Amino acid sequence: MRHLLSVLLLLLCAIGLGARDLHDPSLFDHPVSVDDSAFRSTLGRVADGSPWVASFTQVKQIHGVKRTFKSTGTMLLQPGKGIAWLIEKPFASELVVGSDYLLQRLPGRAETWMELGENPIFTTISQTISLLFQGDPEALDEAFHISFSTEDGRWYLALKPKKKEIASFVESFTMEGEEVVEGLVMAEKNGDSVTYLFDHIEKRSLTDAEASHF
Amino acid sequence: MRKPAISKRAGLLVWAAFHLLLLLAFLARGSFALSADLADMVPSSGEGRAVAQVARSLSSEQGKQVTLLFSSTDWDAAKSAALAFQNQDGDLFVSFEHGGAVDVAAISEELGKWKWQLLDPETRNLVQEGKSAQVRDDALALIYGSFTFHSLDNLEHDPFLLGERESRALLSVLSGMSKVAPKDGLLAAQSGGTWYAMVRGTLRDEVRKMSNRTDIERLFSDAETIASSHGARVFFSGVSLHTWESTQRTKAEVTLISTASIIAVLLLFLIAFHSLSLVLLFLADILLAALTAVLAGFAAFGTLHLLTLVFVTSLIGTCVDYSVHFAVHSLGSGDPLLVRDRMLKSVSVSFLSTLFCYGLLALAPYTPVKEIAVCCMAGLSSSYLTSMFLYPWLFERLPLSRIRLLVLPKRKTMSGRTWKLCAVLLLGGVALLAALSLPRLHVANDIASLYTMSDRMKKGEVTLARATGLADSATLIVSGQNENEVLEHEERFIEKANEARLGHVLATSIFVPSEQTQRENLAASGRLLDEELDTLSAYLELDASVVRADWEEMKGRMLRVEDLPPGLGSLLGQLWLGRSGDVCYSVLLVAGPKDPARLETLADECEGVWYLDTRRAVSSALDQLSRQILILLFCSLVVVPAMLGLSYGWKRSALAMLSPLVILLGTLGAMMCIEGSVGFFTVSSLVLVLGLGLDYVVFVVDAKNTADEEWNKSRLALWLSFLTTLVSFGTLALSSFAPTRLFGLSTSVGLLLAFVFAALVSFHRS
Repeated sequence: MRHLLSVLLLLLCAIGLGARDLHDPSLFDHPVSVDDSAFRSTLGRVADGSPWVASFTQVKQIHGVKRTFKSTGTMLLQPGKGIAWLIEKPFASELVVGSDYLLQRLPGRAETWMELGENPIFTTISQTISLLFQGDPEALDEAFHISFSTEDGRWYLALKPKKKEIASFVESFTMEGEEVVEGLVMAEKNGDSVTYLFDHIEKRSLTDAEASHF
Repeated sequence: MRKPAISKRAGLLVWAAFHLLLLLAFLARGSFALSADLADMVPSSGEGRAVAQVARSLSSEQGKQVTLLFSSTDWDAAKSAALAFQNQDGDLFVSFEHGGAVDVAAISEELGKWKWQLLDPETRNLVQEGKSAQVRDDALALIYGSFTFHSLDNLEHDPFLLGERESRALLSVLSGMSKVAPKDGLLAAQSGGTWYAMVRGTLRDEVRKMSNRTDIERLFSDAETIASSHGARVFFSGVSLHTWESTQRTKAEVTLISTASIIAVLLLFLIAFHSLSLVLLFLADILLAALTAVLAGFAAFGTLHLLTLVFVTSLIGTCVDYSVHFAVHSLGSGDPLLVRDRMLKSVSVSFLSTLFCYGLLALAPYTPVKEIAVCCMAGLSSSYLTSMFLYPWLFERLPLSRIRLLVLPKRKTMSGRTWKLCAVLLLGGVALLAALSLPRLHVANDIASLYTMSDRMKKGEVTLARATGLADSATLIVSGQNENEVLEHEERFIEKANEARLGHVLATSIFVPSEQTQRENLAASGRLLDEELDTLSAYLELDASVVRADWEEMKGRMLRVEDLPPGLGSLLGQLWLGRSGDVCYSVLLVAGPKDPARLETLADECEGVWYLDTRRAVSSALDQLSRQILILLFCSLVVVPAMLGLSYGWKRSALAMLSPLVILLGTLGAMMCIEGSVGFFTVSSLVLVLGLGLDYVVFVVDAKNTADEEWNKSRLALWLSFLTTLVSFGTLALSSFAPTRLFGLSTSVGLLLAFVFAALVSFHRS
């Protein structure tokens, strides 16, 4: 029952945004050249190099156990430093993807710290996640086959990895939004997916407390 | 007419039989080869025999691998250069490996079904301390969190995410061991903004053994050209590449040293004899002796090290001594056979004393030294037989009567007072040198100082260590009666090493715990299920019976080394050596050991664990060997005077009997002053100094009572003998190869001292 409710909630979220389903395969039917002016201007507008703070809802859809796990928290984007996911409910945890490290904190436990320079796999994960938010069309084009479309003032970006090392952990990324990224789906090869729905997005400088996560 | 002591025919037969027998022995050996392997140059270290054998086989396997690092700030440039090299020079390799890099997530997923047996130590401790709820809460935080190594697909079977915890523990060990991971089908590392694409492979045997001398040359030049054309740089590492570079240098030096020696020696002969035909005869003698030396070496050992050939070049100056003595005394002196008879005693004593000294070297438990000793003994024997049995026959037939010998200035006499002053100065100088340096005498060998890397290889090794962390680890060998005992020994050592924070330890038991540990892990897993499974399953809406059934099915099973997934292949190949005879062995690696001395002490304290410090073990073996040779040398202080006394009478040779003492103490003292300590190669050279230096004294004692004309001839022969030998060893002192240089230097110093002492003995005559 809870499983069903979670799926319904996810659908309602998507409908609430007045958007297309980010799992829709037709999003990949709009290949775009990296020189496309609409694509470039949208990307420049969305990722303008300013920091963000946003609330988010994360929904993990696990194919193998046929259920979803939903959690909520705050995302911090500090250009040049990285991205932090601070999950608050139902169980607190923290993931920071820094420019050269990956850090995970669980309450009451020693933190897991990974120097990215020591591990190309995590470097790839970090760089890929950074790519999605840094708005560099050439870098995106180098790593992904890009599809881009617009509808009712909203934009949709669908990315399939060109590189084997990225394809080894992700099947595709789909993103949507207006002025900022409002939704992101990371689909894995085994059918699992993670959906992020962002709201209360603020483009502002991080407070000292927020910046201390990096 | 007086009959010769040994007839011409008998002499020729002995000469021919000796050379024929050696030729037959060489042919009977069937196969022969030259070795350039640096590993063959060092003696086996002092560990137990079986462990030493395992260590040798381990280093032999490691020696087959070479590593090339293509570097660039742009990963694609480094990668394309590495791939282009693999395509172009793949024929030089048996295979390219991914050793040292493991896809942790893939391995842990494959080991997933053994999660109960593989519980990580932290989780086991939490459960044993009654903190199972912490394990449950961690699992929930990870499931609802943003990042897990493993897919959550297997949640139904592993709701506590034990596999995830094991992955993290494993990753913590592996990241401490190496900064290398798979990327784009290659091994990659990143350091200081530079990407490194690694090509690591096992060279084909024929390439490694340099059957075709251009193969490794091609490897170097292709890699450099490809790197340059892709905007990348390339760094090299690997024993085979060091060996190749060392071999090229050694070959060039053998050619240079032998050419320089031969030219210098022949020029000396031309000046002394004014006869090209006689010089060519000497040249033939040198070549025959050198050929005999090499044939004897192959006949005795099958394989000769290139280093041996460098030392054999010293024969050029030593083996010709007997021929020179014979030629000088026989020219213009009538029947060569009678001249031979007159000289036979002194030349034979000289030959036997040198042979005795080489014989001492042949006792050394170190193959290259044995090779050098056997080769030189054979070469000297050939030259002795040639000068004593072939030359008398040849000299009868060759038109040598018109040869004019160099006439030395007339001997100056020395008053008794002057002689005493010289004697006091020489003996007092030697005594003072000995008194100052011998109390500080210590034997010190460091094999690392014996080999100097080229700039190219040094940069390669430094870059490999810095960028990948692969080169910087200590190796220990672990043994046990069976697989389980080896794993138990490993675990005991790892526990103590972790307590002492000695560095990240990588061993087979990290992937396969011992049976005892697996039993403890199963018990802790069972307790975790009893205490927290129902709560967790209820929250996650999972069927708890699936997990219980899984645990019940696995609780009676033990994970074995053979069950490990193939993805661990190359890493496991480095760690698990398996059974050899009645004993099982494994390798334990400690990354960036913080305190090697503590590591060694810990290994001594732990049963079945040996710390493998090849550099120190070999140096220590050389120290022991050097001390043994020194003891034998001091024994010669008794043997040599006795030989002289018995041959020439105790009174006549009284002063000469001091010669070994003067030569030994003087050379040791001088080398202590120059080097600060004496090492194996200096001590070995003393053996030769004694053997060759005594010759001068023997010839002087023998010629003491002869007429002026004979005495002048003896002087000329002695000078020629001394100068040719000094040229041979002096050129060795110019070698860039440290052992050769040390050997040449100490031999030259010793021979100079021996010659001066022989001069002192000669003036005593007056």
